[in-house]
This record gives sequence, C-alpha cells and structure tokens, in this order.
Amino acid sequence: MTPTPRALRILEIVSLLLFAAAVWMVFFYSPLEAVMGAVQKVFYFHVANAWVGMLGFIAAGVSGIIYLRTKDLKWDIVEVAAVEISLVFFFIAIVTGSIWAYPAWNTWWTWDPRLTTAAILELIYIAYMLLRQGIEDPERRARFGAVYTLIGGLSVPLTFMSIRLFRTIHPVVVGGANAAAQGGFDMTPKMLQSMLFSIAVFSVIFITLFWHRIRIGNLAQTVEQLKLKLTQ
Amino acid sequence: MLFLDVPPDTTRFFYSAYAIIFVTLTFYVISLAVRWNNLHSELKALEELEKDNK
Repeated sequence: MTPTPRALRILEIVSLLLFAAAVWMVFFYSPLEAVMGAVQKVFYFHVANAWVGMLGFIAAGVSGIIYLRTKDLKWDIVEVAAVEISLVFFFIAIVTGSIWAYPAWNTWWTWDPRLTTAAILELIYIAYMLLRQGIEDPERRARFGAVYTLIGGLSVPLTFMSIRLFRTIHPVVVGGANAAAQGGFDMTPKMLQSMLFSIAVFSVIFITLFWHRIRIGNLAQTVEQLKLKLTQ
Repeated sequence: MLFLDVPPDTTRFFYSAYAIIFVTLTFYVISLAVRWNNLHSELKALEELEKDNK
C-alpha cells in the first residue's frame, strides 16, 4: 500500500481549518438578514455545495471524454470519484434548499424549474452509480460510464441556467433579478464575503475528498486485478 | 414574512440545515476511511495468498 502523500495530509489539515473558518463566518461574521432571519444563513453552504456538486459532474463528463479518447481505465476511476462526491454535495444542496424553502415559501418542496432540474440531475447520477454495478466487464463498464456522464453532463448547464431561462420562484441572488422570485435578498459586503469564502472552502474540501476517492478507486482496481490473477 | 419589525425566529431551520451538512459530510468521510481500510485488509490477505501459492 502506498502511504498517504504529504501533500494530501497537508490538504486535509488545510481543509479542516478552512471549514472551521467558514463555519465561524456563517455563524458569527455574516449579518442576520432582516426579512428571513437566521435561516438565510443556510444560503452560504447551500450555494457552495451546489457549486462543487455541479463542478464534479462536469469533471466526470470531462473524464469520460478523456477515457473515450485514451481508453485508459484510470480515467474511469477519476470519473466515478467525481460523480460519487458530487452526489453527496448535491444531496446536501437539495436538502438544505428544502429546509430554507419552508419558512421562505411555506412549503418543503415545489415543482419549480430549478428544484425539478436539480432533482433530475441527482437522479441521473444515482442511476449512473446503480447501472454501473450491473456491468461486470471493466472496459464495457468504463465505456458505458463515459458516454453516460457525457450525456448526463448536459443537464448541469440546464440546471444552472433554469432560474435564468424559466419563470421561477427560486431567487437569483448572483447576477440577476427575478420578479417572480420569493426569498431573494440584496447581499451586503459581509454576506458576499461569506458566500465567496464558503465556495472557495468547499472547492478545497472537494479536491481533498476527490484525491482520497481516487486513491480508493486505484486500490480497488489493484485488489480486483490480484483476485483475477489468483483465480487464473 | 414581509412587513415585520424584527426578523422571524427561523433558527431551528438554520440549525437543522447545518446539522444535516455536518452529519452527511462526517458519514461520507467515515465511509471513505472504512472502504480504504477494508480494501487494504483485502489486499494484504490476497498478497499472502499469492505468496503461499508460490
């Protein structure tokens, strides 16, 4: 077994410290919003989780393209790692969004374009993980995964743009206003700093977890190859 | 929520959301550690089996 690289150990510590700083900013530094109260602070980690979730799904699509070009199975490992971590972050974004929605919209869930596209995006990649399990041959599985993530990746820009393209009650806090939106607010400098810092922190956390998950994928591949060797 | 003089008390939603974030991330990190340890044990066992076969 290869020991944990020093850079990864440093990244782990940096991630933990940054996460603690982000929590402090959300709880103590960012101001209390006048209309929604404390629940508005869910916004900082909600946006950050949605950001890294979408980033990972795009990374998976890019890995899929590289696999199709190179046929190198290491890109399949990268692709699965990206999808798995993104599923976790995007799940957090959906659940925290729903918790925010109750006091803001008086409902946990509504079939609004943003919520619907986000739910579909999550389900597309849950299906990807389930369907992969049913394919035994590693190369066939990798080819299927590459094509799937490439097509599935198309739903990422659709989800991102849904609040800008369609009439929706989901607020467009950054880069636009929506007359139909409910729960929108103007960001003060401290709010903006907290949001940008949270996004940066979750990007670092994503890289740390991504690295760990790739190492697990490599180890699983080694085990699988050794098993094959022993059975032959 | 509009036209209130003081912000409404929505702290329970705030704490619930952050509790879910902490719990989900903790579980995921634990799952990574467990998978790594299990694979490592499996690899060790397979390597010993390979040695015995030789």
